[in-house]
Amino acid sequence: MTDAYLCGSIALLFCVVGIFLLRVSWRRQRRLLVLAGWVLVALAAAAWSLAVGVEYGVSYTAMALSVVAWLLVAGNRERQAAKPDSAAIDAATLPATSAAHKLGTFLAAGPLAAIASLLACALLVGAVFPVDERGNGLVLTAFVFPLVWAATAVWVCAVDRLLRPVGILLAIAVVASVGLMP
Amino acid sequence: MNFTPSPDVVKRNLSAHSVIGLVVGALMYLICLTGTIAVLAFEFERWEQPEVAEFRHYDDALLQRALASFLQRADEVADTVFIVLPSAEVPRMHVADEDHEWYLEPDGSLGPAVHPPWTEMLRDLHISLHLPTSVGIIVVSALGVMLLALTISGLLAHPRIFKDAFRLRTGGSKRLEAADLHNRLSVWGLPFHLMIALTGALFGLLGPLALVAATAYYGGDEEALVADVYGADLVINAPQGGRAPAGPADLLGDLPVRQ
Repeated sequence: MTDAYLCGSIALLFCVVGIFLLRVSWRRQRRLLVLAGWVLVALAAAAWSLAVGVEYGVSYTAMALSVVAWLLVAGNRERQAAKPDSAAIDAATLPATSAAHKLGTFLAAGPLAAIASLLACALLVGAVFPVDERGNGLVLTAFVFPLVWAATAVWVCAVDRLLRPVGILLAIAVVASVGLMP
Repeated sequence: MNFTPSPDVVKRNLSAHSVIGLVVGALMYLICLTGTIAVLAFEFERWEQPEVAEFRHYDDALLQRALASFLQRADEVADTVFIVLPSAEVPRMHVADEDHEWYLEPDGSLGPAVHPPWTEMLRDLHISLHLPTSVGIIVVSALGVMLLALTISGLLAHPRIFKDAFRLRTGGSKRLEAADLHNRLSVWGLPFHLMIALTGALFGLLGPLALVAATAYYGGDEEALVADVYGADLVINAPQGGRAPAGPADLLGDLPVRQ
């Protein structure tokens, strides 16, 4: 237990010093310091993983990285003179498109993008991995599929005209379905 | 870090970022809030059922008695029965199958049923939004995917997000102040947000992926797929002329157990 505390303390120290180096090198083109900062953060992750296992170690590093950096950001706060016309922030609104376009975007970025991504990723498992490696391929695909769906959803939401992404996603889904047929 | 997408890409991704954020924001908030509180779920369980016996030592006789008591009490038992061993964090033992779950007394007899209502409410809200589980878990995972989408579109929509990583302007324009806060909280939380979003998405999407992959590559046999990924269930046979395992504790002998 003592070793775990020691490793955890060293990890926290690495993380704090690493972020501090990143802060010091910020906007000053000191690449060596930037590199040293990130290396220390990586070492912090390794030390925390030694202390509490990789699962928690990576999480603790991510959390410590955020908290330490936010503290430095707060310390770096620039106070500006108040502007008389800045009392309110405009409410965010959905784009002024028709209800049908909004519904279409929702369906294309949601179910359609999900189905197309799922089928395409499943097809790639068979295409890329040999039979005896298929288990590993499926595990990798389980991580890739949400990323592909997310990127597709962003693409669908970023275009003005839905027809093109919808057509492409439908084509991918159909081709992948045919390819997956046993 | 040089990261300069074209103004058109920035504009389009800012729009996508806003749209996705507005559509999923409320549910995302609910899931993140309940997930944060649910970190303490084991502690809540102990507070909700303080009468449950707590102990960390057990032996083979206790495990055998627990299994026998369970089989006697449960009206219908599933193929698999779990005995959850005590740990330093949760010094309680319980025995369960798909439909029944009881805590164990230190002598191996059955204690009270596992039923912490508030913790169950919290977990169900986080995992499935109180929808039927098979649907709810996919909805929650889809929201995980949308959090990934927000991360991707956020990076593309804010070309100065890394350059301004330590900058926070307050007191002037409220809009600028809010944008700076949003961007600083986002960029330094990025590794954590990505990790939570991806692992959250993974849970519910494994089902559909397994269904498609099993149909395509395993002749519809999902158990074969699971065996390919996780390895088949452990089958223990008595060695020729050797001693058969005396009980569950024999089988656990080589596994690390926290004391």
